[in-house]
Amino acid sequence: MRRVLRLSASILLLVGLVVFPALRAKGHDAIDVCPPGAIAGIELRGLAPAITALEHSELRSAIESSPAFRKWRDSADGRKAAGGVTLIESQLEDSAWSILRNLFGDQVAVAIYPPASSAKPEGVMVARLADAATLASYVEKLQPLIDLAGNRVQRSERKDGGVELVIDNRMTLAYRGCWYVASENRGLIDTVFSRIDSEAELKSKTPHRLFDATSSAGAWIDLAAIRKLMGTLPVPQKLDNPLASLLFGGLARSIKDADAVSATVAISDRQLDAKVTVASPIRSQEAPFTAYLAPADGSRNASLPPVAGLLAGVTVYRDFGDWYRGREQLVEERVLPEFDKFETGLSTFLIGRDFGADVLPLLGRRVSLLAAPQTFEHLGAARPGVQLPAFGVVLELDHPEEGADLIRLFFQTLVAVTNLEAGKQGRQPWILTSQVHRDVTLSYARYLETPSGDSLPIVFNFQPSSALVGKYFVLSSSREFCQRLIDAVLDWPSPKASPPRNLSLTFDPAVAAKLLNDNAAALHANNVLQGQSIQQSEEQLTLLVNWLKQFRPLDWKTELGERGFDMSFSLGW
Amino acid sequence: MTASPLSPADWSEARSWGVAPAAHLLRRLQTGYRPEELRRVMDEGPEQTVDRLLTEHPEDPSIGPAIASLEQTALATGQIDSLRAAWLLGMTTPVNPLREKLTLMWHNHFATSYGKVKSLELMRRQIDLFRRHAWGNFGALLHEVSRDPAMLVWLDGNSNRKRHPNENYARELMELFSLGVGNYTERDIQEAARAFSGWHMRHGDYWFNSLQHDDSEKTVFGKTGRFDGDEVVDLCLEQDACSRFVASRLLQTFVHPRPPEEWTTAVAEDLRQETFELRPVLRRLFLSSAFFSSEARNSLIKSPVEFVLGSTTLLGVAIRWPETLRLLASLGQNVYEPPSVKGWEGQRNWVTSTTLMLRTQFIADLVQTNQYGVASPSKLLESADLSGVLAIILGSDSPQLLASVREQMSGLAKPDQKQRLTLLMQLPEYHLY
Repeated sequence: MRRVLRLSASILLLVGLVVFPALRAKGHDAIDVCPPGAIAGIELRGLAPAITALEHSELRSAIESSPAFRKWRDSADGRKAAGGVTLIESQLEDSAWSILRNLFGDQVAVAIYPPASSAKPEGVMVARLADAATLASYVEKLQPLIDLAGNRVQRSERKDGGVELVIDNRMTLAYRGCWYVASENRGLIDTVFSRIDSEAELKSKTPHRLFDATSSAGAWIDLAAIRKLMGTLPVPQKLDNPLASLLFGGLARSIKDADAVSATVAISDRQLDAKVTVASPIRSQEAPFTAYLAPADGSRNASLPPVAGLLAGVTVYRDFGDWYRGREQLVEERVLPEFDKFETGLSTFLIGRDFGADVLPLLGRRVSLLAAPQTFEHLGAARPGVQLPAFGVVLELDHPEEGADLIRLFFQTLVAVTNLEAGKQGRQPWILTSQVHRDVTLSYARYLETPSGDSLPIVFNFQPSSALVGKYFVLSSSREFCQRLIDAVLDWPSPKASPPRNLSLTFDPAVAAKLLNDNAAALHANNVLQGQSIQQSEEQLTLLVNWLKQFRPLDWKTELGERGFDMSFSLGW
Repeated sequence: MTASPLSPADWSEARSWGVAPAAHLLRRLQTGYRPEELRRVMDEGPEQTVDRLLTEHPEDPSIGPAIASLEQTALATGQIDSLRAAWLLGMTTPVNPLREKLTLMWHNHFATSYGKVKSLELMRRQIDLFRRHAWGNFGALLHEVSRDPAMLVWLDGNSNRKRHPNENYARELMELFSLGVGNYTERDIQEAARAFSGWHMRHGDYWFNSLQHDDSEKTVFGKTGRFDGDEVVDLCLEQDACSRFVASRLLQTFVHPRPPEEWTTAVAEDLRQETFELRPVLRRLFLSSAFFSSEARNSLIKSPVEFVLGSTTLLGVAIRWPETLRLLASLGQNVYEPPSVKGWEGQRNWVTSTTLMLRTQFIADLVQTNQYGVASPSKLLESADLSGVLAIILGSDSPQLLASVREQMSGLAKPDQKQRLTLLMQLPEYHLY
C-alpha cells in the first residue's frame, strides 16, 4: 500500500499543482520560455482535440478489446496500473482522459542542454495549462496524497510567488499560475520563470525549429552541436541489407554530415502529417552517394504511376549503375558475397550476359514496385488456396529496345525453366502468347487449360506478363495488373514537382485488411499449427482487420528541399 | 464344444463390466481419449459404445474449420506438414475417432508415400478414400484403390502399357493388399499386370487408356478370360486367402499382434459371410470374448501416433504441430510417408533404445513444459485417488500395479501433480494397450 501511495504521490507531483492566482496571463509559448542553448527540443501544442478524438475512436475500442490488451489488463502490472488510474480519478473527481486533456492538451515543451556539471545532458520540461483554475483544483484535491509522501517531498515558497517541490532531493517541480516546470537543474527552472515574466516578446532562437501554425508536435536535434560534443555521430555509413541500402542509404549518409534533424507532426481530426527534415549539404555529396539524388531541377522524379486501388507501391529514383558499382562503400563487407550470388543466379536466365557490363547500362533511374489485389480472371471461377496480390515493376530504360530484348530473354528463359519444373511436379505449363492493349503489345503466359478448384497451389497466383511502353518496361505477375500498369504509364503525367523527389511510397491498410480476410484460411492454419484454436485465431484476425480498416492510405515521400533532405509522412483514419 | 472367439464377451456378474474393460475398449478403438470419456464408456456399456463409435457423426464445428484451413493452406503452399497436422488434429477429436483410426490402418495397409507421389491433392484424396471406406466394404475399397490416382503414381500405373506391362501394382495387389505371400504365382502376377495395362492417370484422375490396354485372354488363379483390372480384383476377393489376409490385418490392429489361428479363421469366415462388409464384422470383433480376453489386453505396443496423440489428448494439450510432427518422424511414424510399400511393420519395431529415450523425454517435456503445447489436464487426473488415475492412464485396476506404483512414488518426497503424471506416463505399461 505504501508503494502505491508513493507512486501515486510522485505521479501527482509530476502532474502539476497549486493554486496561485496567475501572476500574468499565459501570453508566452512553452517552447519560447525554455532557456536558450538547447541541443534538442520537443514540443506539443493543442493536443486536446486529438486526445478527445482518440478517446472516442474505434481504434481505442479495438485496442481495448484485443486479447493482448486484455491479457495485460489482467496481469499484475495491468491491475496495478488500473488501480493507480482509479486512485487518481477518484481523488481528482475527473476521468483519466479529462485529466490527460487538461494537463497536456495545451502546451508542453522539453529542452535538452549540453552537460554542464554532470556527465549527462540536462533537461527541462515546461507545461502550460489552458486553465489555471483546473491546475489549482487538481492540486488542492491531491494535497492529502502529497502529505502522505512525507519527507520525500520538500515544499518551499519561491521568491517569485510560485511553489517548489523537491522530490527525493533530485527532481524539482515548480508551479505558478497555469505553468509547471520540472528539472533536476534549478537554474534552468529559475530561467524559465524569469522568461515567463518577461514583458518582451520571446522567440525561440534555434534555427532548427520548424514548428508552424498547423503543427501539433515538433522536435529537433542540433546534430552539429552533438557532433562537437561527441566528436562524431554514431550513424552507420554502410548498411547490412542491400534493399535497405538501395532505399535508405542516402538518408543515412545525409544524417552523417547534417547540421540538424527537425520534425513536425500535424494532427487533425482524421489525419496525421509528419515531416522530417535533415539539414544537410546534400548536393555536395561525392560518388557513390550521388546515386541517391534526383536531378535538382525536378525534371525526373520518383512519383508513383497513377494506379487506383494499390495495396502498396514504391518508386525510387536512383542511379542504379553508380549504386551497384559503389556497393563496396555502401553496404557492409559481409553482404558483398550476396551480390556475387545474385549475379551467378541471374546468369542462369541471361545466358552469356554480365549484369554489370550488359544489364546496368541499359537501365534508367526510376523504378516502381507495386502491388494490388487481383481478380484472378485467368483462373475463371477457380482460386488459389493462398490469394496473393498482383505484383508489378515499372522500369525506366535508358536504351528501351536493347533493354526490352534483354528482359524478354530473361522472361522467356524463366518461363522455360518453370515449365520444366512444372512438368516434374505434374503442374500445368505456361504458354507464351500476346495481345494488344492500347496499341501496346502485352506478352503474357497463360495456362494450357483453365484449372478448377478453390485451393489451387500458390503458383496459380502468377500469370507473368510484360510490355514495353515507351521508355518503360512493365513486368507483372498478372495480365490484368499489367494492363492497368500500361494504362498508368501511358497516363503518367510528366513530373512537375519541385523540389525533386527521391522516393514515394504508399500503403493502404484497408486493402491489406481485405487481403488478410481473403487469406483467412492460411492465417488460421498458421495459428492452429502453433496450438491456437480456430476461435482464438478468428478473434485475432477480426481484431487486426478491424484495426487496419480504421486507416486510410499511408504515404511517404523523400525530397531534396532547400535545407537538405525532407521526408513527409501522412496517415488518415 | 469350444466357444467361438467371436462369441460375445460375457458381462455377467463374474466378469462385470467395469473400469478395466471399458478402458481397454476405449484405448483400442480410439487414438486417444480424454479422462471424462472413460466414465461415459463405463456408463454406456460395451454395445452402445461400439455402436456409437461405428456410426458416422457430424464433424465437430470447432475443429472442422481448423482442419479445412490446414488442408487448404497445405494444398496452396505445398507444405505436407499442414496436411499431416490436419489429419492428426482430426484423430484427436472425440467425434469420429474409430473412423480415423481405421483410416490410419488402411493408410498402412495400402501404404503410399508422398515422397514419390509428390502431390498433396492426390494424397489427400487417397486418405479421404480410406476414410469413406473405413468400415465399409473391403471389396469396394480394393476396387477404388486400384483406380486411385495416388496409387497409380505410387505403383507406376502410367508405365503399365500393352506391350510393356508393369507388374508393380499387380504384385502388391496380391502380396500386400489382398492375399499375402504364398497365395499366388509369378505367372498370376504377370497375367494380372496385363489386365491392369492402360489403367492410367490423366489430369489428376483415373483414365482408362484403351489404346494401351491388353484386351487379350489372361489366366489368373487357373481361370481364363479377357480379364480387366476389376475382374482381377474380384478374382483376388474370391480367394480364401483374401479373407484370412484381411482378418489378420484387423486382428493385428485391434486385438493381438500374433492372433491365434482360430481367431483368424473365425474372423475370416465372418468376413466371407458378410461379403467383406466390415462394419458388422468389426462390431462382432469389438464385442467378442477374444477382444476382451486376457491374452489380448495390453498385448499391443502403442504406435508413435497412438503414444503421442494419446498423451496429448489425455492431458488436453493444445498441440504445437511443428514440434509434434518432428517428434513423430523421429519416433518412426511420419504419416503420408510410410517407409516402404509394406508400410510400418510396427509393434516391437516401434521400440528401440533411441525411440524409448525419445518417448520418455517426450512425456517429461509434455507434462512439465509447453514445448509441445499448453496442457490443461482434467481435474480427474489431479484426484487424490491413485487407483482412479491409474485406471484412466493405464486402463488398469490391478492391485499389483497399484502397489508397484505406490512403491515407486514412495521414493519421491511429496510428488506434485506433474511429477505424479510424469511417473505414471513413463511406466513401461504406458507403452502398451
